[in-house]
Amino acid sequence: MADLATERGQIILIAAFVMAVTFVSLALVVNSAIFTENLASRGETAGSDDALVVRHEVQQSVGQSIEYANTYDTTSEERQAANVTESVATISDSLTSQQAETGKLVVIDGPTAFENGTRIRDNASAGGSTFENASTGGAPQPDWVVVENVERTRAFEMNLSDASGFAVTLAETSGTDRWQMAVTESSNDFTVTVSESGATVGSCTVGPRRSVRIDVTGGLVGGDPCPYLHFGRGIDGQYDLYYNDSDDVTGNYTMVVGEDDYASANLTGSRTDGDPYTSHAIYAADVTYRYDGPSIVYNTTVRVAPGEPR
Amino acid sequence: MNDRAVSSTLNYVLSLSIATLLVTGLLLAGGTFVEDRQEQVIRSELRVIGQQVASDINRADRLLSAGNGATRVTIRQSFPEQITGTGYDIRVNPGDNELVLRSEDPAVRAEIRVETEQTLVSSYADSGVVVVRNQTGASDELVIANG
Repeated sequence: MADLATERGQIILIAAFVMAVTFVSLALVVNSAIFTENLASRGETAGSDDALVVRHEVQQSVGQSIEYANTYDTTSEERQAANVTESVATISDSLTSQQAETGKLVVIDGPTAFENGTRIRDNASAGGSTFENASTGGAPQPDWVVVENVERTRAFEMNLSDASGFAVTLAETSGTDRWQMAVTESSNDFTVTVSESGATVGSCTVGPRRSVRIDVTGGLVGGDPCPYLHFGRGIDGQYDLYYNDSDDVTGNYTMVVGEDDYASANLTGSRTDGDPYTSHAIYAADVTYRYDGPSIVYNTTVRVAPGEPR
Repeated sequence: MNDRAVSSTLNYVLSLSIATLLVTGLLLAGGTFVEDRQEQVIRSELRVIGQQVASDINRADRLLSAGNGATRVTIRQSFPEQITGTGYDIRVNPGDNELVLRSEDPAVRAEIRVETEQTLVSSYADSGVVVVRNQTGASDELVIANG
């Protein structure tokens, strides 16, 4: 009897053992489930957003250096290109050391290519002047062609203190589509009205204020976004840019067109010959961009054309 | 006299078999429960890994779209070699715009949709470190591989 007593309960013992194994495997399964939840809530780990942020930074900085070169050294495009190349090297050095602190390698090289353009500017002092053409082409005209047969315009900005019916028109060279932006002023309220192919799209009003800054290619009126202002929407290929009733407006403007050494009888070749004048300008530059992070590699070419409409 | 002690033997046999029956039932139910849980967990794990790979593909897609000219993108992310004790693989199925993930044992399958601007190319990766990159020499073709 004593022997029997020690051998009782084997079934329960074995069952308990098997159950214990089952519970352990259940624990493993539940652990996996917890890991899954953790993986599901894992956000951006590779850093692709940072790669795009730094790319944007590169675009901004190189854009600034192009604008700087275009503004302060108009002797020749070669000198402007040399200036920009120098700046790109400096930007690359500072970006590299800045990004190295967070374990990333960022290098920009170049520019590998330049697109030369022409800057057109009317920056008469003392509150600006009317927007008529230069008198080298004869008597000033209120309606005149600023540029003909161009494909691209960027950084088109104007500062107006007075306007009563002035308009900027784009007309397709080989087509009938038109885009127009008209500016009117009534008791210091400035209204920008946009029409595409004859139909009014909408208008934006700012004021009352003494002057308004319109970023035509950037779509800003007085610093605020104007949802209707899409420069040249609906225009395909080359176009002509006109001013209408340019004697009804007072202010300054500047733009860069993607046409090398553009010249016309309506524009003078230098600032000293009167407004509006043309000067050498870099329209765009390509730089190579390299971003090496712990789990991401991104190499590409970045085209920099500050203020180019999308 | 021969009938003596029968009831205690019978009692012993009966209680043994009832106990065995109960214990077997308990073990079967427990085993099935764990297996069911395992399959569910594997399915959700495959789905989560698929979504992670799909978002890596989307990230690479965005970077390629933002790129200009010859562009190279590589995004690496590490995943577990085994999920709940089984290996798995990931396949890009460009025809249906989806990722197909399959575990080995038990065989579970999960499909994750992935939409891209660039072209997805039929490719394959095992568990572990998964790399999403564009094809060498083709800036607009995305593949997955092991890294």
